[in-house]
Amino acid sequence: MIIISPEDYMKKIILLMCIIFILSSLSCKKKTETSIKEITTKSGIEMIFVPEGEFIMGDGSADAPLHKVKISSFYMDKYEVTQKMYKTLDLPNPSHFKGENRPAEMVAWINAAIYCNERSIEEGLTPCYDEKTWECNFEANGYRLPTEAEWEYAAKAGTSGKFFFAPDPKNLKNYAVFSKNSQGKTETAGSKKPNPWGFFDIYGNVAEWCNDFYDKDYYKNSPSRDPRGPKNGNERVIRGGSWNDSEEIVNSTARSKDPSLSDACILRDTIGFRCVRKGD
Amino acid sequence: MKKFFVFLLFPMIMLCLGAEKELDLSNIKYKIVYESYSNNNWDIYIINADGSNKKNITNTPNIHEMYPKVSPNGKKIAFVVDTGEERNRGRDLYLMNIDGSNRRLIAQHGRQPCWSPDGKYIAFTKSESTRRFSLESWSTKGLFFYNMQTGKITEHPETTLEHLYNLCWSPDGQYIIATVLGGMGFKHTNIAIEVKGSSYFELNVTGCRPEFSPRGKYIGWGPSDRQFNIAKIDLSKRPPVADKDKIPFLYVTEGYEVYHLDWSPDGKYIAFSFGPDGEQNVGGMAPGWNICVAEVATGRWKMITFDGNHNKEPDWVP
Repeated sequence: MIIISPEDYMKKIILLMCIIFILSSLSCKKKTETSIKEITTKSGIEMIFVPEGEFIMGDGSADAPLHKVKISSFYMDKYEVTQKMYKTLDLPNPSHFKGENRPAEMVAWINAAIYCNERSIEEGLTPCYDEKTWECNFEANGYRLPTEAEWEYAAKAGTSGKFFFAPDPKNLKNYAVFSKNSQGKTETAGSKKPNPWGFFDIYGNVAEWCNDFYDKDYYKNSPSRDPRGPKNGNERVIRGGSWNDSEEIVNSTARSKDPSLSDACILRDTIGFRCVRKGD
Repeated sequence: MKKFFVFLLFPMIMLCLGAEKELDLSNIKYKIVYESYSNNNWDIYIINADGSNKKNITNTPNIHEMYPKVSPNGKKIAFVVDTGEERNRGRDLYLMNIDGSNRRLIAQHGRQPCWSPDGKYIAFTKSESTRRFSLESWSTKGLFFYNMQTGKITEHPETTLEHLYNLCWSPDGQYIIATVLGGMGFKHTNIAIEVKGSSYFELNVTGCRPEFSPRGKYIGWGPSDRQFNIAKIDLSKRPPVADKDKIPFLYVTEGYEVYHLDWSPDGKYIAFSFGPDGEQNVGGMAPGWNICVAEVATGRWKMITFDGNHNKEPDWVP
């Protein structure tokens, strides 16, 4: 007969609990990995499916207070929209730094929306943007710009804080083309490591247009489910920073804005975009 | 140089002090043509420089006519015509008599016409995308020449030219100056292109839409959408415009814009578009915009249209 002392009994219970915890964690990780999947669209563009989820948006700063946000599933471009992708659709490419595989830049917000509509038409999808009002129909199955919340959810990729990698900003050079490692211009899309969900250049290279108008106080009153930005505004949100920005901007949470919605006189060679479309 | 500086500094001081006197434009012998939008339609109007005797010279309720450029002898107008709507809109280049008669197509997909100083050619660009229409002025490909005598079109020897807009032929016939956006390695600047050669170079003026004075000694341009500058220009020098020669000529307060500067044939006046923040591109909506005339010597200016019907792109009739 084996006699177990109370001390051993406790040890075994603790061991069992540890095993259950580890298995449970592995199970969760596996679930996330299988949920994040890559697809190739009809026009040959690689996108990543981002499942519905919840995350803490913001970084606790004045214009980005921490708050919980639920996001519906969506697809997002694996890379920033390149000049080759522009050329495929026979759209005027305004980029300063020419190169088929470099991201498109000098793109006014309206022209980014036009690209989304044309890509939708090309694939037989319903365009999201009304080209008279530039209002976005989120129910349409076509392409659009990400909401600010979708962008941050994808950038954080299940992590929290400013950077999706270890908190040492020195690691940024491995993941982003930014002011400290760029040659004063953009680089080929995907030249650095991707984030945990597989998005390349989510930090740096070109800052990315979002669909939302910018309001510094928006987070204070935004809905907790699929926030879509203020109704009106003069500037749209840009995220992720560019080849010309420092780590203060090139991260998951820094909020920026730009007024170059349609005026060619103020276009910037630091701004591009990537597209999303709603999940199945 | 000192004289030139004082010549331009004076109007600036006058503007700043608000010491404007009513500008009398009634003695100007030239007329002005411009594009205007009403009843969902763009037409081309002709008007006296003092704002009197306005007349619609196209008068086509179902066709959009815009961007009028008058020939050096004052008898013809090159202009663009838009048909269709939204992404299926198309833009072509036409020619007509100054009274609106005898219109004819001269170049499909043609845009941004400008006349050679001898009136024998019309330079123009073409729409870049065949997939869908773009209102963007810079959305152009190539530089072409329409021969008025033969009706033939030839392309400039440098076939990589792209994203040019606001073409302006130098009075000596040697160059065409233009703004370029995201083309030939440029971000957004103003360049001069040899008409018969293949070289091009920067003017050293930032902003857009450069225009030669009638004798080609000066240019005017918009360093921002609220200001015009004027400078001496010498295309035989590098850079053609020296920083010290750049003089602010006219500016408006935030919330308003000035665009489409054009020198009068005698060089004494500048016509331009003015209005609240709007769309300056050809055919773009700009409610509240009107045509204005400024006196170069004094900087005084006044509106000559008041209907605010998206009035833009004035061009003097020699």
